[in-house]
Formats: sequence, structure tokens, C-alpha cells
Amino acid sequence: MSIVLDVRNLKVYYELGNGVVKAVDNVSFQLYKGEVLGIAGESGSGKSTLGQAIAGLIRPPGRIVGGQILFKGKNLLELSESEWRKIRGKEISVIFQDPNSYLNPVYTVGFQVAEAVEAHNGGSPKHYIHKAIELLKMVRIADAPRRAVNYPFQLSGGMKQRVLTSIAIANKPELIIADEPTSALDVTVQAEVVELLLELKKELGSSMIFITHDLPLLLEIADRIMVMYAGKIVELGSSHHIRNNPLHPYTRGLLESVRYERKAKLKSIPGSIPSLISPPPGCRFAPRCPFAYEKCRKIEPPLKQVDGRLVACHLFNEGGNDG
Amino acid sequence: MGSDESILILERVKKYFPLSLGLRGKKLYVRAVDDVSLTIRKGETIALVGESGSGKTTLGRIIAGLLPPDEGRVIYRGIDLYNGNVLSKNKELRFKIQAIFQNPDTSLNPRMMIYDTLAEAIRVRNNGLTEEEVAEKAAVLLENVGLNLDHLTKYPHELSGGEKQRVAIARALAMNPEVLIADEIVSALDVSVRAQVLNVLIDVKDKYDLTIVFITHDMGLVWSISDKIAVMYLGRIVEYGDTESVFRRPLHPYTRMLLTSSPTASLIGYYRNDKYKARGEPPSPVNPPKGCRFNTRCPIARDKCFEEDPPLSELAKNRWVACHRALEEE
Repeated sequence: MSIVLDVRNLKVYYELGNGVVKAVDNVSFQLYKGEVLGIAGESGSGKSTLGQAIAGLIRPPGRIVGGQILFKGKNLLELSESEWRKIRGKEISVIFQDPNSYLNPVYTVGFQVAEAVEAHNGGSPKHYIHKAIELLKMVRIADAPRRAVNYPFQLSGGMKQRVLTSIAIANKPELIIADEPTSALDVTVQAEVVELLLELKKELGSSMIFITHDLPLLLEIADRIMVMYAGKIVELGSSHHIRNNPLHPYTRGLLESVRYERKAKLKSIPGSIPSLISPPPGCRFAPRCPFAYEKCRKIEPPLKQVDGRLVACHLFNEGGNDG
Repeated sequence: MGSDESILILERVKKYFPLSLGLRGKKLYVRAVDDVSLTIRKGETIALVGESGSGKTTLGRIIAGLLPPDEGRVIYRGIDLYNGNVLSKNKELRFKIQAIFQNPDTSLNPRMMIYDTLAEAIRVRNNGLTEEEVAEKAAVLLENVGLNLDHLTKYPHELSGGEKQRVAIARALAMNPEVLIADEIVSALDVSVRAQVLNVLIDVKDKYDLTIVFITHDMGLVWSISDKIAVMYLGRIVEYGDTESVFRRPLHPYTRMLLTSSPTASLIGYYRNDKYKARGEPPSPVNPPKGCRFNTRCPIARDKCFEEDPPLSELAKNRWVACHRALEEE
């Protein structure tokens, strides 16, 4: 399989008055052509910052401190803003959680979709209104010609998310980054929008990074899942591995806390997420980990190949099952 | 587990919110809760489930004594909770039903230390306690929700989301309630913290002998915590029954759709039927469809469903469903 995206030792820090937040701290992974890579994590895990970095959307006080993001061999971190404009929305598209902040309330949705086409093809948005209606049809908006002249406030949340999706796919991107695209939607609406996203991805032959806190959702839709904790990757493996045999204690805890049992106490992870300004030494999960020992509190565990996936945990030895 | 003793009875409760915008002078209403009857039994945990616009939160607020219904009665242990449009003056009644909400940032006073927040509630409930007695009670409350004495001198902003929600539970418990309404109390929390708060709720339910109305949109949580489930759609209860029985064999097509769409439910591996894959979006509660309200999205709707509104009826033992065709097609 060919590699579409190769992230190497990426570091994104936020420089705040009271210290430096290491939101993404030395993260490396590859995205293969055609795959859906799920990035799971709780608030403060760095998953959204990572998505923004890949889309070239990090703004002060955020700063990319180190590393490379190779997209089809080209380092995205070396692009100027004008070079970025040619890529963003064309080769790399982003879909965010809240359509209200990304749709302009004073333009019709048809115009906004047409504008997305115009941005990369020149001319005027007016030339692309038929194309826009076609795109609205592609995201299965019923009665698309009539909807195209609606303003965002006239549409439901699910429909607005479809409009954003049509903007994202307008130029057949190779990479779609979806950051919590369905978290604000009801579950029945979510199910439909997610299905649509996956179908479009397949149709266009794109690759997708799907960022969410919803691990059960990722288990259903992602080919591989990357679990992040406090700015680091703790485990990266196939959905099958993560579902049936999670190795990292955090992945296990996360899965157990959503694998609800009837009338039984829920399994929880004690404590809370550490400060990213002064993260604990050694393994960042050690203070909450039931298996932590001396070494975990001193030495940071590297990501190593264990049992067909990558795990950052001292409990496991390279290559083997457990240590 | 629930007993046979009914503690709260809702009789044909309705709540319509007027919209300021009326077309050609015609008044429009959001039919948030539209003719809901429900009996809640002592000691049970009942889950009110539904998506946005289903009316679950409005119903919760009505039960909590926070919102008078337009029509119908809410009866707690034989006493009407509302006198027409006003909450009953019976103080004891008000103490006995307490509510906790999704966002502790808006329900806790940011300028009050946790101790003062709890002490205020304790004093409202018990007249003439000495300072020592109040402090003692506050300490016990905190301990019961898994917090320690250090938290007493903190302000809400110094606590994590999970800790704040525990304080909200402690404050509700200060009233020594019999019924606790919990409206999406863990929805804003990270999953790893969510379990901690739910476990506290399970603990205090036993300790205080509570009846819990648990409002949520998450079918996984319903499975884990509730004895009974009431599924709401556009202001109506469409299915009601024992949680276990409903999960094993959902009867209403909307319940089937909810379970099929919900990733947490499929992780547990209960019901899934691709025939009921989600389609369409809920219609506006201002102008619900004629006949069955679910007919615009229902994969098994037939002629009658577009004409007649199906009543909630007992289709199997202890299984109440509002559907013309639930038993004909699965």
C-alpha cells in the first residue's frame, strides 16, 4: 500500500503565559492510501491539534516546534500560506464538528458550495451553481435545487453537516480530515452522516483521518485506530486488534469504560488527565495506571512493535506478547 | 430494583411552548411534551431516552417541579405537584424531588466555596443546626460522593468536570430526596471520568434509597444503569418496558433504529437490524406528521400509519408500544 501521509516526530506546542503546553509531543505515523485512520482520545489528548497541524491550521499561540509532515513526499511544514491555499480544500479537506462556525450565515448554501469549487478552478461562483447542486445531491440532500437557495439557519444540524461535507469533497481531495464531524448530531443522524462520509471516501478513492472521542464509533468505521493520551500515541493498531485485544492499559481502560455491562459498576480509570504544561516524568499515564512500576515513573516508554501493532508501554517487550 | 409502590404518576401531561412567529396570525406551538402518562415506582431507575426535540428534558423539568405543565397532573405520593400553573407550596414535596443537570458550571455558583454551597443546602433542609452540625453533614455528603475534606475549601473552577458533578450530586442529596432527576449528567464528561460519576450515582442510590429518573441519549448508559426504559419521540413515549426485555427484543421501529444506530449498543452486541438503519431526520415538533409521528422515517409504515396516531398500548406483558405494526414486522 502506498503512503499518502507520513508524519515524523511532530511537535506542536502552545506558548502560554504560564508555560508551554506540549499538545502534540513527538508523534509519528503513516496514513495509507484509501484507509480510514481513526484517532481516539479524550480532551487534552492532542488529537484535534494534530488534525489542525496536518491541515496547516495551527495559529499562534500554537507553534509547530519540530518534525515533518510529508504529504505525497512533500513536507507540508515548508509551505507558505499561499501555497497552502492551493492545497487546502483541494488535495486536503477538513470537516469540523460545528457547521455553524464554518458556514457563512449571510450566503446561501449553494453559493458557498459553488465558492469552494471556484476557489480552485477560477471564474466566478455563479458558474458553478449547477456543480454545487450536483454536489448537494451527492451528499443526499433531498430536493437539492430548492435547498441550494436556503441559508444555513433554514437547515437542520444534520443537513448543515452534509453541506460542509459537500464543500469538503467539492474538489475530490486525496485526504479528508474529519474532526468530530458527527459529535454534535443525534445518533440516528450521526449513523447516516458517517455512512455517507465512508461512501464518498470510497467513491473518490480518498484517505481519511477521523478524529473523535467516541471509541465505539471508530471501532465500527476505522481500518486502524491510533489512541492518543496527553500528546502522545499510546497504541496504534487495526480496529480488530484494538477491539478484541487492546494492549496499552489506557486503551483497555477506555474500552472497558464504554463496554457497558448490565447493572454492574462501570470500570473507570481513576484520576484525571495530567497537565500538559508539566506532564509527569516517565510514562504520562503512569499516575493513573494500575500496572505502573518504578520504571514507568522514570523512563518514557518508546512506541514498539508488539503483537502486530505499536504500543508505548514498558509492560510489553518488542515483538512478543507481554513482558 | 423497583417495587410495586408507585411514587410518581404522570397523567396526560402536555407542555406546548408558543412560538412568537405566527403565520397569518395563526399561533404556532412547539409540542415539547404531548400527552404523556407514566408511572414511576419506588426504588427503580427509569431511563428517559430520546434525541433532541423528543421532549425528554422538558418532561424531566416537569417532574422536577421546575416547569408547570399546560395540561395533565404530576402526582407524587398522592399529592399534586402543581396547583394549576404553580408549584405546590408544600416544602417537603419540593425537597423530595431533586434534579441534577448536564453542565455543573451553570448550576454551581462560581463565587461560593464548595463548603458554602453545601452548607446553604443543608440549612435550607434543616432548621436550626449549629455550625458544627452543618460541617459534619457537609463532610458526610462529600464522602458519600467520593470527594474528601480538601474539596470543601475549593471553588468550582478549581475542580475537574467530574468533581463538579459530584458536588452537584452532594448538594441534591443534602435535601434528603426520594427522587433524583439526572439530566444528561455525564454527557459533557470524558469517558474515563464518566464511569466514576455514574458509579457514585449507583452508590448513593443504595445509600439514600433513591428513585432515579435518568435522562440520556446514550443507549449504552441505559443498558448499564436502568431498570425501566421509556423511549420518547417528538413529545411522546413510543415504547416503555423493562430495559432488559426492550434491548433483547425492541418492538417500536424507532427503538430498533436507535439501537441499530448506536455504537455503544453494538459494542455490547445486543440488537442490530440493518432494516432499521437510520434514515431521514426527525420532523419539526411544531408540525408533527399526521398519523404516527414516526411515519416519515419508519421502514415498516403502511396506510394506517399515515392516518391514525397509534396509542401506547400493552402489546406484550409489561411491554407498552405505540405502533400499529410492531408485532407484524420485525
